[in-house]
Amino acid sequence: MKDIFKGRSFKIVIASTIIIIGIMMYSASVSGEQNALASIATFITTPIQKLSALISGGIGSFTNQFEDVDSIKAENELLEKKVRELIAQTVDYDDIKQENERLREILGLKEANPDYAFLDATVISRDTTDVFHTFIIDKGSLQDVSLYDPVITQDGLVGYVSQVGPVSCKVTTILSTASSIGAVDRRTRDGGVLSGNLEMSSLGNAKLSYLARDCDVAVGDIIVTSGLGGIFPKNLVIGEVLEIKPEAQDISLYAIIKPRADIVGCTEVYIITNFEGQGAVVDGELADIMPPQTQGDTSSDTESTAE
Amino acid sequence: MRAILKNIKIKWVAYALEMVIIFILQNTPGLIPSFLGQKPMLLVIFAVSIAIFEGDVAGVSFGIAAGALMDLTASSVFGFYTLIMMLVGYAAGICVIYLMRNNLVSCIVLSTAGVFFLSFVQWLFEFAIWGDAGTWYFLYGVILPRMIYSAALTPVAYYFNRSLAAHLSSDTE
Repeated sequence: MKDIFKGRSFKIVIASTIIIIGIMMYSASVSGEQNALASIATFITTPIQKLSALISGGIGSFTNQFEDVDSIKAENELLEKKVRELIAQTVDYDDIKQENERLREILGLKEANPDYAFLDATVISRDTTDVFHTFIIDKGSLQDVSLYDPVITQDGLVGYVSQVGPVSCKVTTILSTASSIGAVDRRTRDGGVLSGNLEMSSLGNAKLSYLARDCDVAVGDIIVTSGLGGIFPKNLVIGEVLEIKPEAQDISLYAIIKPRADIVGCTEVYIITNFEGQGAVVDGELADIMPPQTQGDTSSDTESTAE
Repeated sequence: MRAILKNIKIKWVAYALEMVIIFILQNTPGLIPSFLGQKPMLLVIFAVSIAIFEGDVAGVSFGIAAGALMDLTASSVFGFYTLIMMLVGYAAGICVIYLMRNNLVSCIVLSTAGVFFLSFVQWLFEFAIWGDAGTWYFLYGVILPRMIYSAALTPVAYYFNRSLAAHLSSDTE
């Protein structure tokens, strides 16, 4: 046993520990950017991960056909019934057109938000060690993705870009404790701060804190972004209220929010690279999402963007 | 002599390839099903099984490489998992040299302990010291399923690496 400390491996461990701690200190000092080593590595791993995500998606959809055969059969029967009903109905062409336009407005984010500049991206990797479902997407600074760009799906907000590499970037989800987003109730305009919570995130939910005791937030209400801080666009759907509870530490209330977007299972997302009011942070006002230690950096970042 | 050196090189290249494949398997969305919301720590199992069959120096080397791959996708500071995985690889190698037998049970025990150590350090530095709410949930809701899932998959890695080590080592003799 005494030989342990004299062995070659022990010396390697000590030397490696010193080097790794050095790398960690360097990485911590350049928060938000990939370090040189990681950038080189992602150049190699990103195409491989992209391919594996593609294959995985293909296999998943192929096997799902067999897994869901009963439900597809039932759904098929239901659809056939609906088709017969629809054929039986006489519907005016203009009505259909109007309806179609309305649905396009609701579903098509681009149509609904003409000021958004979108970039579609594929989820190529998920961090299995992270309980807040952080993931990597296949777009980076070479495609004009910037730090803190909002990431969404057609259903709602997913998170924000927390680290940008040349060909990929890391997305921190709204379920993470690292994010705190200004959010309001769409019906009552009661505001709070949306953040992650360890236990809630395991169920795919987030926490809307600092609601006033006399607020009118109700179960089922839709929560949207407040737009304050200029990080997220205003009125971006986050999710709906599942439950409202009093906070244990103070007199405020908090709500459990079920995100509209499928954060845990999404494979395709959109990055909003530009929108009206982006980076419009008023001096002295806290940015929407920043954890306290990086708020200073963000203000300067967003201010420079505004310029 | 050249043939021996060539086979040795093939062995390490095979291990490196295995590591990259495991990394891709582990991180590809939707490929490995979850158990109680958690995924297995395949790279930990890999590092431990390499340390068991190839010794502490290989354990340290592959621990560093596997940890660096994990750091590429992790939300923590770069180097965090490299450091942990290096210690896991080193400890596994040392344990098999001085304390334990080289068998499946040891591999399962060391892999499970490795997963626990990795998750515990993660919990300590990401949640516990910040006093995050729901922090105890991490211990039973995250670490425990991870350990069980990883332990269940360890025999696959153990027998695969054992046959790989035996096959490629016998070629060198």
